[in-house]
Amino acid sequence: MMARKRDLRQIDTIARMFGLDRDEFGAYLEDCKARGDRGTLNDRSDFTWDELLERAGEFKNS
Amino acid sequence: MSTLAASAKPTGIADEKKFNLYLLQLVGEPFLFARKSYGDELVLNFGELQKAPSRKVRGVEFVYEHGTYRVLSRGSAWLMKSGTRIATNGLMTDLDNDAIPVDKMDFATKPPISVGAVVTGIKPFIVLRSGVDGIGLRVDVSDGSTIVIIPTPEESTEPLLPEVEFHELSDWEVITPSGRIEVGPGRKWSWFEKLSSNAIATGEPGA
Repeated sequence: MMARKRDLRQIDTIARMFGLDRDEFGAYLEDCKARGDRGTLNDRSDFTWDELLERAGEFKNS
Repeated sequence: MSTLAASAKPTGIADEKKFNLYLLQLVGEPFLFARKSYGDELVLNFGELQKAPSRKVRGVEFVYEHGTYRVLSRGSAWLMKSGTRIATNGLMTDLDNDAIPVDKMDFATKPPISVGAVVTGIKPFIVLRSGVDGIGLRVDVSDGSTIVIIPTPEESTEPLLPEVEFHELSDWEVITPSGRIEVGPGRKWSWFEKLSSNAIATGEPGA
């Protein structure tokens, strides 16, 4: 298993769009997955683009 | 390990002195903790522990913690060796399946590096392997642990979404209290002072 560059690019882009700290947002998403609050992209519970946008908006406003 | 050692060779590099000076800021800093971030990125935290203000998202409290110094593997493969334990993400073939894959690692209860052990060395090196001509990184820690980061080939040149501009992904990064160094893809690096998005120093070692 390799690091997933596609996922990282998406996080980088969305963090820039919302003015978020990339590492903090990435840590938050992993925390979500660990708590069972999962995405629907694949069997690794990753998030779709639209789900990431939604999460970023919620995170920004928290 | 033999494949890795044979394919990653150090070289004399034009910008080596400046490049190394930025990286050497990490030497002497104590290890705090490691974290697997989204996309299977490895984030190693050193220095002093920092806590961001608590957030409440979806009714759940979230507190982001990080070190004042960080090493981020970005999209690269990596390997951590500590005593007889080897953990890796992306180098299983090179290690003949002896290593623990990242999804079976427990960073929280079994940190791969002794907490408080300090960085004793940090060394970039040229990596030439199939599909890669870039810069790797080796970090040595006082408990005998070693971390090696190896750039991997580009996955796809196809745009992720046609209407969204995606930025280039670096091969690895080191963040310090004074700024951030981004390395790769390829044999290039950029230094960004804290809170600035404009690189104030760049280079292409060995180019």
